[in-house]
Amino acid sequence: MGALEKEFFNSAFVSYFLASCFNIGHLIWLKERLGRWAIALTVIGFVVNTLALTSRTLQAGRIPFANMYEFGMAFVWGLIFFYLYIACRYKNYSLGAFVLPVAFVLTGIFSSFYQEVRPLMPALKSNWLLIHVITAVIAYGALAISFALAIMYLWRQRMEEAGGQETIISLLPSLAILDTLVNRCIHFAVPFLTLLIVTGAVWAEYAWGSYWRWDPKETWSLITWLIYAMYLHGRVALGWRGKRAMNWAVIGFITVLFTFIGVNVLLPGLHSYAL
Amino acid sequence: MNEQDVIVQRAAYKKRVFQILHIVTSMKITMALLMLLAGAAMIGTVISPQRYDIYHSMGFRLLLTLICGSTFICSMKQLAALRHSNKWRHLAPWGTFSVHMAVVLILLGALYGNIYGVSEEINLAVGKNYEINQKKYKGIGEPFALHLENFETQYYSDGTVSDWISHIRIEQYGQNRLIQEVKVNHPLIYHGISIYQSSFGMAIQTQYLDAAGKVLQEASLGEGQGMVLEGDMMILPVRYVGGLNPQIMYIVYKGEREYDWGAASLGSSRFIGPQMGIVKFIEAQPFSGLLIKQDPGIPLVWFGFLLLAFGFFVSLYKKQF
Repeated sequence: MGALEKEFFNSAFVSYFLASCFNIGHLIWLKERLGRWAIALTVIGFVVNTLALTSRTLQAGRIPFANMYEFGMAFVWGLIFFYLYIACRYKNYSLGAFVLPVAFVLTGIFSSFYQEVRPLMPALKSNWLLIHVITAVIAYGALAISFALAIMYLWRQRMEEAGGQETIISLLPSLAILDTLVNRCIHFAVPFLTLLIVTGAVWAEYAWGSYWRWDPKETWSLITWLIYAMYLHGRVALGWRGKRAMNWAVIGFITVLFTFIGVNVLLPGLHSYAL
Repeated sequence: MNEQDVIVQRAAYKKRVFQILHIVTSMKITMALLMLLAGAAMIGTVISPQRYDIYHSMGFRLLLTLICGSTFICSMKQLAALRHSNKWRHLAPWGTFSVHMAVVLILLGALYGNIYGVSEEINLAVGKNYEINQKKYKGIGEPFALHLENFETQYYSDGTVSDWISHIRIEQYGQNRLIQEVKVNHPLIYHGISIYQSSFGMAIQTQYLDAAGKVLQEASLGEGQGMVLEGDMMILPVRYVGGLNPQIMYIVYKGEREYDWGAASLGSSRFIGPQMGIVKFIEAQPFSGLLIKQDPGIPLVWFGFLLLAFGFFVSLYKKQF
């Protein structure tokens, strides 16, 4: 069973990689067929990703949220889910060329943290685990999308300035739509990002006896939150639009990545079991 | 100066105060404060807290105070703006107001807890009591005693630890008031005092005697905790090994260097050092490391958390979706 789940996740990795290639190829050669292949591969990746999560859940007899590897599977799943939702809703799959590479790189990173199924350690035996991790999947998933959209914006803008091919540009949503979408993703994510920190704090009070200890994980989650707080203020009060807002969205997601991968690897603390 | 002048002067003074407040709470300053906080927090995760604890430094506290103050003034401005417009019927601006108030409440709750909160870590051996009284913990009423009835480690079938459990009984007014298993994620809360499972180990009752059998020194030592003896010697029980033949493995130090080592069963004598003093390990008892805490700021912080989450969902979801 364990081997099967690993195979599923590896297949998801391969599917996401191929989907990235086809997506990018679609933007370069403008062949409709490549685009269709890209969507099919994304859906296949999503299905095997779901199977990997399911078999892990069955094998562990609990929700697979106990370490980086398990959380990673859920996170990439959430990311692709958001992507498919937005792509279907706006009937524009060009976002895939930007989201799928992120998904495939993250899948590769999480695979490298593979761990055998183990029972939950005492600190994780809590109902807070479920809600804490679900809020993380939602918040980080939406922020990953905002990042991909922001990159798309910056890319399209550069192409326009350089007087690039009209046809490629026409495949991407307009700058105004991209700007709005990035903002919506962040607006959607920030309440969940807040819940993520709050549930973590309340849980820490029950598990470790203190809701805030300036543990590296706590501190970096606060830094991430502050970056998005600055984004919201800049947007509302200082009229940040376009390139400036997009740069913040990019910086924000880089901090998210650091909070959730970098801290585990580089700054060990109370949250270290997540590795 | 006549009365009219005084009024005019007061009005000018008031205006200037408002002007200053306006500048202090301007968006640029707010952004600078947020940026500073993020930057300081970042630096703090790189410097080891033993070298410099940035989060408890005066500068950092000042920064938090400034942010608290500026957020409060901003939320008051939002409230005033709401009153003067017809937007007060909408939910979204109330959400924004809630978020800002929540930040203020959380910071105040943390400050209150920092000033009036008490916490301590104790090692309580099985069968022993620990008294919690008014001297240290305010407003708990009659003192009460924690009694550790038993401590156990439970394992999963694959041998990994499933739980550390302290069976704790609380006695007050000479009666048993509460019996509870304290585990990680399951603190005991009694009269506003929380008791957490924090660590565990063996308490080894160690005696040092002279050749005539007179006790010179006695202490309860944890594994790996040394007792300094005469002549620059130190006895360090490294580990208690249970099972069929319980023994204490120990190392004798002279100065910084190892001098001797050995294993002794409970109650047996070992001659150590040039003075031929005697070391005896009388008994070994499991102990439970408990964190005892009283944080009166918690209700305020929890309320702030609720308000924060509520405010964000209302303000960010009402606008866009």
